[in-house]
Amino acid sequence: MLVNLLFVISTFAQGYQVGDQVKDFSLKNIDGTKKSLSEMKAAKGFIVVFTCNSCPYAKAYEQRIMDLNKKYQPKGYPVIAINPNDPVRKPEDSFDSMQKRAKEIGYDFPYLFDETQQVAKAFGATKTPHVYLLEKKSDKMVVQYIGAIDDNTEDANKVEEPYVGNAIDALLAGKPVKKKETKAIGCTIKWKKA
Amino acid sequence: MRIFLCLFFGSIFFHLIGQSVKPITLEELQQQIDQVAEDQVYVINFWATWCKPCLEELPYFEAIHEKYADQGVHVRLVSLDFESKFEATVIPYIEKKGYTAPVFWMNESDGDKLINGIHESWTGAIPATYVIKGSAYKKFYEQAFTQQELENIVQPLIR
Repeated sequence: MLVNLLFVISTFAQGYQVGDQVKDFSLKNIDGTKKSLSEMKAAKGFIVVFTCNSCPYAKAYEQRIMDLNKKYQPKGYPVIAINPNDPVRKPEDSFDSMQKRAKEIGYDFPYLFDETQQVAKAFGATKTPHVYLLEKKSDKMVVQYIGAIDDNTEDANKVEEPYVGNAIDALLAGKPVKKKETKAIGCTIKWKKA
Repeated sequence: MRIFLCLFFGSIFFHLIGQSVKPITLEELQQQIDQVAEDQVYVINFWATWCKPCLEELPYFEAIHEKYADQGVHVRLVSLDFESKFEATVIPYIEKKGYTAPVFWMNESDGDKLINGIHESWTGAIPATYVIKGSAYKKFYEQAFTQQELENIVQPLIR
């Protein structure tokens, strides 16, 4: 029992690493429908972004997340945004607020609510924003990059390395991703209090 | 007399402002971490004005500073706020709160470089705190503390 419990805890703490296969999930989208990765058959992969309405670091990236979708959705890599925050702890991150914010700024990709926080835990996401780039290999989803969107949160004009863009460009060219993992400052995911 | 008072209060004022928040580069902070004397303790807290749990625990770090500064405990509050917030938000916040522990603003925009440059176990969430004693004791905590938890970490390290 204890061993089991420890195993579960360590699995949660670790989450997916680069090269791991991702289990499909089904979450409620802001349009009220349920979305899963497997139903988006045309995609070559996904830019999964754990993000939210409330974190200043996530806010700093809203436009850049939209730009990523604009550039890479036509090439087969759409953005899937997921809000993992507990709205009891952050009312700004409620489902209603997600709908409102997405409408205000014009999100044109799924913005999913991870109400049970199980998806964020399975991925091993710790903060917002936190990106997992997935590539479809036959019927499997494989993690190819984990980390930040780019190397300058405050100022998009001062970015020297667009990590996510570079990773997708490499995949599209059939090359290995050079920088597979980066770290970034973010807001801790607001986990439900036990 | 009046001139003297002016100079006197002027210098206090200057002292307060001058002390409030200083920019620090990653290299400078790394140097401080690498050069902690064997009987000295550094408690480096990474925080930001936008991070609520960070602001909640700042008073605990201030208390540790006030209580143990003369026993070789050096509290360092390192703000990870954006550059545009440094003068507009960070300095006024610290002055309003009147914290006396040394406060720095991290002058490094590349998060990957910063986080990896501080500790390998840090994923980048804050609050985070690095506790160092001498060259052998280094412990990184990516979590918020209660006053008691912080006390329990620092007290056993005091010479």
